[in-house]
Amino acid sequence: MQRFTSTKLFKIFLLVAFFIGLLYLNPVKISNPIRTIFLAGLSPFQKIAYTTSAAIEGVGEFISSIGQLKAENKKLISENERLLQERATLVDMKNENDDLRKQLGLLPRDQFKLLAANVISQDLNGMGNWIEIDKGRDSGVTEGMPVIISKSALVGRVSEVTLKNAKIILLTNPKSVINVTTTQTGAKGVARGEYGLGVTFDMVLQADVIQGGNEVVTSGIGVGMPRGLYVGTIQGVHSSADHLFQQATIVSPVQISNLQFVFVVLGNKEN
Amino acid sequence: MRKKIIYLGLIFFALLIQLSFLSVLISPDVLGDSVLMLVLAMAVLDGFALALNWAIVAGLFYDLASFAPLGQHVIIFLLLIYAVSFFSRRLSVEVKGIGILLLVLFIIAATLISKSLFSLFLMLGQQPVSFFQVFGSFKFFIFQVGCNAGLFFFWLSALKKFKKRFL
Repeated sequence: MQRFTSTKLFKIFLLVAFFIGLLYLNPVKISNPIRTIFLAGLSPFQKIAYTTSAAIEGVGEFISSIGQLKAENKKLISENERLLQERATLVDMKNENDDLRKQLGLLPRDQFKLLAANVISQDLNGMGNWIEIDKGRDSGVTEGMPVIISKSALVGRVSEVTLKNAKIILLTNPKSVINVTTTQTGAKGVARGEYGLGVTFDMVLQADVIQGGNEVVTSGIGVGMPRGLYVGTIQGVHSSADHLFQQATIVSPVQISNLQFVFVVLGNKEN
Repeated sequence: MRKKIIYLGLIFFALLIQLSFLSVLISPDVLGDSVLMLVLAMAVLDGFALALNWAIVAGLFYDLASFAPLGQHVIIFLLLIYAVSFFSRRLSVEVKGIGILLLVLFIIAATLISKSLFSLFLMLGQQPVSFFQVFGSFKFFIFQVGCNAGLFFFWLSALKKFKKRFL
């Protein structure tokens, strides 16, 4: 017996049992202060590493694109001509859009109180589709706040906050469920994360109309999620397995792996 | 003391590489695990007894840095170093000249253990995902093994150099 207790297998068994117990108990009150201190020490280095990595990626992309530049330049010139013509039309459409936003009750996009934050680490395919930002409780970030880019496109929402950092679960995270609606038809449903498979527009009534190309925005139902944040465009509509609802794939405009800056929506300016 | 500082520094560096450097440069589908490979290199070079302590430290740091519940990565690392110790003793005695093949076997085993346990933890964490959805396709698994092989030999040579120079 004494021999068995001194074996490697016994030691590993004991340690694994201890850590399974720790996992089960998940002592957040103890681990969160430790995590806060640990991340505060680590985040300056993470910021440097992330910026360097993003710069390297940018250089790599530039080098690989040199060959395509000439063809692209030609294409851009002709596109520029087309865009000039479109611009005239769009000015008129902008006015119409403003009226429609008012009628739909969408917030004007510049009315969010935003907090800019650097992305300092990410795990897009590991334990849960998240990114980490360098702003935390001391900057007013709280759990559940939406995180966007370019003042409109939704990236995800804050799931954990330490003093100086916060973890953002992405729309693709299976834990992410957000109430959404289509701007064209007003069909309501939820945007549900599908691990590694993107985002699904789910729970849409069969009576509602959704089509490929429809834009999906947050519906404003749910705590802390304002109406009108852009989630993506619908692609491929189909029925759910039980044929009770319609489902569709939502294509998000956000390229998470390239993100360097995001904005946390602290609230509406009016509030 | 010097060894402890160097090893702690290497663990921090591996964490930085994993979460803030490689994750931007390499597609998440094929990205390996830098910290896992550092622990594997430690187990291969230092043996079970020494690697055990560092596996716990690295696992806890990894959990803290990646917002995971405490213990998740530690369990993976502990099982990994036990597997390394178990197989390296038996295979090196029974099959001579196996060297590099054994290391490749360890890398494949480490990737398999970590991916399987990650999938299991996600399912037990009541996330609505299936095991194979998280585990991914066989093609991506092969890519991850390749990525891990690169990381492993990087850490193995780094550890050897540090040992030669400072320890």
